[in-house]
Amino acid sequence: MLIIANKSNKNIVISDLKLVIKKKQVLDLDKLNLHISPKSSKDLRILLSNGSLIQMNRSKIDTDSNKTADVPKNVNSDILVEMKKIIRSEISKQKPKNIVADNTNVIKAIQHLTNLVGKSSVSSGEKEKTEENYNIDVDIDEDKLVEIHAKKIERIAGLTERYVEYVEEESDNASVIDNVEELENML
Amino acid sequence: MSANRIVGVDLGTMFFQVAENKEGKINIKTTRNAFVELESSDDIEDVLKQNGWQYVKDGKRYYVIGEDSLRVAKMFPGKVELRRPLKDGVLNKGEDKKLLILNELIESSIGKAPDNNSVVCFCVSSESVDGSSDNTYHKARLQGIFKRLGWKTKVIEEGLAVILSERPVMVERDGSEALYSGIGISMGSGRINCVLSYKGLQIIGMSVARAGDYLDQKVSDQTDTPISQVISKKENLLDFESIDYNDDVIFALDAYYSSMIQYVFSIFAKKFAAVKSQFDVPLDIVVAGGTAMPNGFNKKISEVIAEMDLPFKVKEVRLSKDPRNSVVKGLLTQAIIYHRKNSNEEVKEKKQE
Repeated sequence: MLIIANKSNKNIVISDLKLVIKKKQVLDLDKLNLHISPKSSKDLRILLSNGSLIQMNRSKIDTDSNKTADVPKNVNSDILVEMKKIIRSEISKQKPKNIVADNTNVIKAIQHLTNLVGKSSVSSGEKEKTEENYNIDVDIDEDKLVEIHAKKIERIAGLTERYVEYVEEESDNASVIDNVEELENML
Repeated sequence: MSANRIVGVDLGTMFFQVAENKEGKINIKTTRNAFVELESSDDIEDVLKQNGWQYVKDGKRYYVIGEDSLRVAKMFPGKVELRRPLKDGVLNKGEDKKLLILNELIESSIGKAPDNNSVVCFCVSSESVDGSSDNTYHKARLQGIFKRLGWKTKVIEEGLAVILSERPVMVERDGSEALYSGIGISMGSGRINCVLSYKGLQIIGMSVARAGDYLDQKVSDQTDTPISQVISKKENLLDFESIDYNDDVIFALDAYYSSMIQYVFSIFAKKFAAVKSQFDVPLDIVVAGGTAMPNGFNKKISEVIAEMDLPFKVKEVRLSKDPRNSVVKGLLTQAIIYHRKNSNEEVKEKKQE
């Protein structure tokens, strides 16, 4: 299950999946018959990382309120800053000969800080900040989209030959023309 | 008058159709929207020409298209696979040659636009209510094909094309008639499209994937009968006014048709609830499409919905006199209106200049 939401007010195109996610639409990509696996989509990764799209099933796990009840507000951002400092200092201490040992220290430091945070990774304040980023304008103008497709067709259809015939039938055009006249008057 | 051409194009899951108004007549071209790929060999072009098969050649690859693709698929069962550019009413995501074939069908049937004011109207499915497809990509791709050939495009939803072709009438409380008002349903092989219209304007639209292909597959599964036989019985023997209950396939088709009608109307009823207050008089229901062709289908719908608690009253369930061509005729109707509107606007602009 890979549930993706477009919380913005614009349609978002995932080019390499050839998929358009409409504004405010939620889709389970694993249920769609896509021509490549969504997990191998580079464009999807970019859109998820810049916050244009949200992965719903993962965020639900991350924001489990019971597990984060004892964590003070804003502790996460403080700890994350601290974590960055420690990692930087551990990496700067590294010498080529004892990289493995030094990495172990970095990992231990990260584990220690992770335990402090519990399993929550985003505080409520940060979550709001992140959601602001979801309204990024990534919609493509419809005319532009049509132009892109027209160019693609030009490449595909350049060197073809064909022999095609159709079953043809003719009927009186009175009913169609009568309908046109009526509709024109109404509209 | 100008040499502008005005055409309606219905790119259905099963059939590809073009309608054009020519010298006082409506000319309709039809072919099956399917193809098979043949292995390349030295004499393949001779084989194709000797048999008179329709084909597309792309580099060294050969594709037999239209009705001939079915013939070839039957001649070489298991060796060649019948492929379709569309699935469930939209471009078939699993088919990498869909654009090649569709472009060839479009280019061979309508060609390049003779001028800047020639118009094509085609249709897309209404919003899918069962999460089965998204038509934004489908619509843009088709517009790209027509644009490349120089056509102006107008796009409407398939159910509205039925309304424009079949002209349902609603009698208002004061006795006046509201033309092109009612429910238009197109039952194809890929999707079922429903639109509620008032005076030719679409009020609501929806589509579901439980259409002809779905029915065929279900009946085939339940009766252990090859799909080709199910389709053959559906097209030649199914008569809702005289069901042969001893025939397992016919019996299953009858049951699945009932289930499909219930499914479609139960979902449409929920959509309708939002605009219920505006439609408190009985409505015409007009039905078209290949899946609606068995005799007595309108009576079948009437019987099934009579048992349902719908939020609207039904005046009449009417089957199109020309169910296979109804959508493409509606598209031609819309194309002519769009063309006239554009021409009138151009005249106005010139006068203002």
